[in-house]
Amino acid sequence: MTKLFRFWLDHRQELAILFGEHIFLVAVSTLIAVAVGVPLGIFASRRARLAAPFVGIANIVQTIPSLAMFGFLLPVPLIGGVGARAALAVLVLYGLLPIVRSTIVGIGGIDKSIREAAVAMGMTARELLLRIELPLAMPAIVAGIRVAAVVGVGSATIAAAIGAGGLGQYIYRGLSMVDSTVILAGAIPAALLALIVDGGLLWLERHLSARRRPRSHRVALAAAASLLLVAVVGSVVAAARSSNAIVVGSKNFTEQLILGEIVAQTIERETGLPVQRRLNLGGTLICDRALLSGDIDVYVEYTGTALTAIFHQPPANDADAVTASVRDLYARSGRTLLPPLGFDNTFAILVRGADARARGLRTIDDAARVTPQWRAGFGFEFLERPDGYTGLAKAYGLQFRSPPQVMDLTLSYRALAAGQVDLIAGDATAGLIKGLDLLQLEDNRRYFPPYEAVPVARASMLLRYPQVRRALEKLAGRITAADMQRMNYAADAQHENPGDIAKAFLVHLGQR
Amino acid sequence: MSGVEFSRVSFGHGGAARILDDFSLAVEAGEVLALVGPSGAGKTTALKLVNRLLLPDAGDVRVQDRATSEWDPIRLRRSVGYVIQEIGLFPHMTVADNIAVVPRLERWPEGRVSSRVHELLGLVGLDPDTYAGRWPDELSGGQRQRVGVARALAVDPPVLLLDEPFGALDPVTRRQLQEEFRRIQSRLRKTVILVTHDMAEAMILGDRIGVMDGGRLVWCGASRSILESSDPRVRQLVEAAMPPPISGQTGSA
Repeated sequence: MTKLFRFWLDHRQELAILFGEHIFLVAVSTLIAVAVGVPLGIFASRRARLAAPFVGIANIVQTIPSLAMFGFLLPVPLIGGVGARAALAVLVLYGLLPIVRSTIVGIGGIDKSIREAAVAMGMTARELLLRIELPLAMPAIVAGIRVAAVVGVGSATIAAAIGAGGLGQYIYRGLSMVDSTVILAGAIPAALLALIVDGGLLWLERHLSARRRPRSHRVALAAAASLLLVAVVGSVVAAARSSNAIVVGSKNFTEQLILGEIVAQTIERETGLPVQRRLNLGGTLICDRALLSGDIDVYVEYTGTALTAIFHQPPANDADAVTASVRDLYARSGRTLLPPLGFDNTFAILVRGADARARGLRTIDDAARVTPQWRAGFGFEFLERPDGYTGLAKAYGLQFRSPPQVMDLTLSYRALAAGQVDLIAGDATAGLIKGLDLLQLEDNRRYFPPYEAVPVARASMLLRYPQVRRALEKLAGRITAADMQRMNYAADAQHENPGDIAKAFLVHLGQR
Repeated sequence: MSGVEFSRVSFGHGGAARILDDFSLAVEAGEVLALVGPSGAGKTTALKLVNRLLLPDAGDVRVQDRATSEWDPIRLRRSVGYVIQEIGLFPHMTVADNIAVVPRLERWPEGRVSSRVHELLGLVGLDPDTYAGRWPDELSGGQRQRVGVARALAVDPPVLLLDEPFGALDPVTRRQLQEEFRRIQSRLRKTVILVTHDMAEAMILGDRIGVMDGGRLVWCGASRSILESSDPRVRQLVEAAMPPPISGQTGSA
């Protein structure tokens, strides 16, 4: 608990910004959903034959998991891509259903005789809508808005996956660091926000359904509207970013966050240009798409990943050849591969340090002699990838006592240290290797393709700001695998902030 | 000047099952015409043709010597008061605001609106100080119907349409409201069409009675003369309304 409060205290500025971004996402998307959904609901309620299909479509949209929705929208022009705009589009889609449905239900639920009396009194369609139908449907509509806003607070946490910011950033960061404090640091404010939104709109709903003079209705609506305005303006200001900034992206695991910070701080220090951070984007494909569309200007990729996952080429073993062909492939789509940073985050076949010392194991060939008595645990990805387990077993003639166990990559380090398995495939730069006294066996047959860490940038940005290229070239070959391991360890095991780690490292580089 | 006149009006979705079939009837200005007949006879449809909730398929309905098809529907409806059995009071408005709806649509100044509301509540026998601020669901059925009548009279329309206005009330309240209505009508002299399935009510309130059956007018004449009619459809309605000769104590209306 104290850890959590300490975290909030240490990150209070960032927390305020993320909170602001979160409110911005929910408030703006809910406003748009109301502006679109209420007229849509009114329209559908006028045409009974349309109402059912409308609600049906909205229902189907609602059942699409939000992460999948972000995926669908990635390639869509205008609303797709990464960042707040795409997140807003998804949140609006989710908000529409409850609002359209409650508008249809609210208006449809008005007693027939009331509508007939109003028409017979000589009300125009507009007067009927404004004086009778909307006021009577208002409590139902506000109930729908309440559902939309509360669902929005939840869905907005997922928006962090596409770089829209918000409290989900802490949740994702915490998940990738397996640090429940960081997860809670994002989840608790998000839950509080949901409760506040729920309570506030419930109050409004009660207030509207209570019988009050129109004047008092207006007071309640005005109060709600001005609160919303304050929230939107406040969060817009908080989320405002300079538009000509260099945008630095990163994937969603510890090492990427640190590398993103190193790149961002290097550009800031060397060029003085404003830098905007869009760290913690979902994964390889999201980063790649964002770089293509110009949503980000630069991020750090790994050559082997680019070759197989982005460009769908067969895995290759020669590091220089891989780098050359990846540079060529990037150049064809207007992107520039900058010089490698110096370390290779390949797969690492890991065993306990104690075992290695006792049995004199140094290479994977050494281990192949003892593995028939061993159990192995691998992450799902390693079991599936073309350059993963199957090829490895073939290359080294590996056999195990039982088929390898599938386990979460992060957990597999601890499972190895605890003796539940005897061999795992991890990341060469994982901080836990050092923390848990594990040993990386040498890939003496050079089975694993190279995964050299290398910044990729949009060529047009480098053309406009040649100083950015010069700044990043200064990082060439400066980060060793040991450096990276140490920094990952500082983040994963010692819970240091990626920004601080990067800062300390750059200071250290300047001295070395 | 004629109040409301139906001339050879037909309405209904073509073919045999016409709701109104060659229906003609003239209602004089200032008289109460009671339309009676079994359910499905077309009484309510006839009313809705007057304020242009419906338009005739053939023939025309003239209000103040002008066919409803030539009226601006909004203007027409604001000159025709309409009271239905379910009343349709607006639940989100107080009694005073309900009565003030049409005056406000007509953009009366607020001072005039409130004095009119006051006057109308007095007219229908509700104490304005007690009832103006009440909500519809705080009223009894009879009080609600009085508010409905006051609302229909708000801008002093020359024509008033009443569709089973007292049908949902208990017999004592119904009798009371019928008396009140006679009193009000003797002062206001509106052109009134009253739809009812209750012959006794028709005889109490109507200056004349029109009997409808199967979309046609089968009998029309002064209320007093209806007892002398020999038409079997009329006799059936009259007898249904009369208390049985011997066990008279059980009948109440």
